[in-house]
Amino acid sequence: MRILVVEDDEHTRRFIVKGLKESGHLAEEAETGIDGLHRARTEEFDALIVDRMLPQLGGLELVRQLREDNVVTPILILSALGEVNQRVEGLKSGSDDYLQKPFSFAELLARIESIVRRVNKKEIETRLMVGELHMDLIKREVRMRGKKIDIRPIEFRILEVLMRSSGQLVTRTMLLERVWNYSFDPQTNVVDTHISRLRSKIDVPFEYPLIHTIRGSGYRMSPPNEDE
Amino acid sequence: MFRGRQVARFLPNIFRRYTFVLSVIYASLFCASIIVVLTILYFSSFQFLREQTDQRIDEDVFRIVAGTDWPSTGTVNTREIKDYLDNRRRIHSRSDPSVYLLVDQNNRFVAGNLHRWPSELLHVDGQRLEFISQVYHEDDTIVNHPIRAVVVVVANTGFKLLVGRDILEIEALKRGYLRLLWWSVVATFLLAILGAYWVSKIASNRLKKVNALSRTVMEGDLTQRIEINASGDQFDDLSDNINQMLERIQTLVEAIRSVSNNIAHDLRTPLTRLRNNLDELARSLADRSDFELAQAREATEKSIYEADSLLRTFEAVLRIARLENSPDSASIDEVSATELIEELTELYGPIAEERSITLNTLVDPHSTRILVDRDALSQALANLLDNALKYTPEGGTISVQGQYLEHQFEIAVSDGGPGIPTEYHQEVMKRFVRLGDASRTTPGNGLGLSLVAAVARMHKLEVVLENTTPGLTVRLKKFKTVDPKVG
Repeated sequence: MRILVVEDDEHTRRFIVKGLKESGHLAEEAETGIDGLHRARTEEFDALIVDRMLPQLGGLELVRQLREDNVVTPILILSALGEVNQRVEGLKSGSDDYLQKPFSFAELLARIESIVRRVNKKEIETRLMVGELHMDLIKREVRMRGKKIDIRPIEFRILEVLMRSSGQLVTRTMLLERVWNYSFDPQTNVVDTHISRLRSKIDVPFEYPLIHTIRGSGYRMSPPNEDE
Repeated sequence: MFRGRQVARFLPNIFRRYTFVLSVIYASLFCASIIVVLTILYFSSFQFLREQTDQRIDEDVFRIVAGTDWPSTGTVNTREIKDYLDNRRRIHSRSDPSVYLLVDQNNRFVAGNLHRWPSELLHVDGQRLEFISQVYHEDDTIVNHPIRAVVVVVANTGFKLLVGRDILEIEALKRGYLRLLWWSVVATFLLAILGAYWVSKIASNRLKKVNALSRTVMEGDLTQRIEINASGDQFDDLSDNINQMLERIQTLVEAIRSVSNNIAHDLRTPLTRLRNNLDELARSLADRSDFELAQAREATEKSIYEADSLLRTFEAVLRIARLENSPDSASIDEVSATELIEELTELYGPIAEERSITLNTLVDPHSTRILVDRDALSQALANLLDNALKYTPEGGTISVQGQYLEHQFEIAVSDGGPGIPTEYHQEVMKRFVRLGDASRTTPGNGLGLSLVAAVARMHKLEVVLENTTPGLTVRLKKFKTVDPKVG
């Protein structure tokens, strides 16, 4: 993917660009909002990472102007401001995700991959599939090798989030945001126990585990043959 | 003291006000001085009237005696007195209120316009007697009148001569005067109370502004000022001083706030860089399989974990600061209390089950809607549940209740832990306070309850800690509800 990083803080910018390159992406840099806006309008990118507080032109204003010009490139806002209303403000400007600083690179990459996938998938999905696991979003049903699995509503929602991002990292914070709509991390590792319950239903009874723990970051769902 | 306070509580507000009490004291002193002046006036004027009466009586005695041989011979013919008195048998009510009576040795009537020797005396004042007696008016009416008189024993005969005056008018005057005195005291007192009320009302109206301002300051708003009405009195001085004081406090608070924000920012940035560097290091080590590098990776991951927990503590401090300093940034919405509680217990359910802890919820059947910042309140309750899980032993019970108690909606989290000694209930709300062994034996940063307190303050809730046996109950009281139902 070709990704534009609009960030005035040199250290953060270098950190993101280096990480992106290491993960096999092409990263371009812009230091100011004006520069970022210009490049996003004239060049083709798969995604934009935009800092909220930029000199000359703020991040939110940049996103607003791009959306007015019908630029639909997925955009992630980076910000030190993390209160709920500030997040809402960020998303209202037209961005696709909002990540509070400080962040880990794994989290940023997971979110970028997730929004790119979401934006590119135009049609509404009614069925999700990972390996031999099938999810019917209309019947609210999960089947493994055709056998129906008894699953609680909350587990269904967790599984849905994981399956929609199959092959990609989903962090605990992302799960808390998407399943429970919380923007805080509880002190106790509550998400892990939910995952282990889910595992006991879809991984343990079958030979190949689908849910993989990524140490220190979160989880990834992938079919057995893609597993390293 | 205790009783006095209890009684004072039942009095209307105005009677408890300091200014009112001062005014009443002033009014009482004023009334007392009025009473003193009127009393002096009373005694001195009636003393004068009495002396005048006595002087008239003495003149009468002299006139009677002057008509006899007494002065020259030293003997008295009582007949002469009798003749003299017979001429004045009736009282001339207006012009001459004089009364006379001549009796013999056995107190038998000889002459005069009094019928009988007085049997009961009202008052003896030296040689003067006062009594009530029947008097004959010139129009032949007989009336009981008060009399003041003097008695002269006629030297050689043993006859007694009583000469006096009808003092009915003086007595009436006296009664009138006393009535006047009584009413003027009552009127003065009533006027004084009214004045006291008025004065205290004026004073308390001005103090009300100061009090209202103090409350807004207590709630954290330092921007309000008291208006000064330019009369230059002490209240204006007070208001001016308070305004200046607030100005100064505001400057200081802002300075401190910006300093701590700077510190927060300055520390967070290098910490983030440190964390990012470690992150990069961990990633570059990720694919290496030799043993020593694997160890290095593990050490790096531990360091990342430590940096993360430092950053989380920082985030918590900053979040508390944001909640406290800008309560306006809260996004208050109508939220179903039942849903909010159930979502949280759903999140915590599996971990409680894993530790064999029963997690009960009790929610009111009306599914009350409360006005809260959902995320902030959820975080506060999550902190309470984190604590409850930390301190409840295996097999214990944690319960979350959202219900109306005494007509007010409250949410309570109870655990099965050891509780907190009552004397520390205030202490644990402060930042970074951890009790006893907790700081060594359990993870945490001592900010959990501070955040609960900050969220409560933002929502104007009351936080009450209660030791139940076993365990601790934390109650968040006085939620604003959308449709207040009476429990």
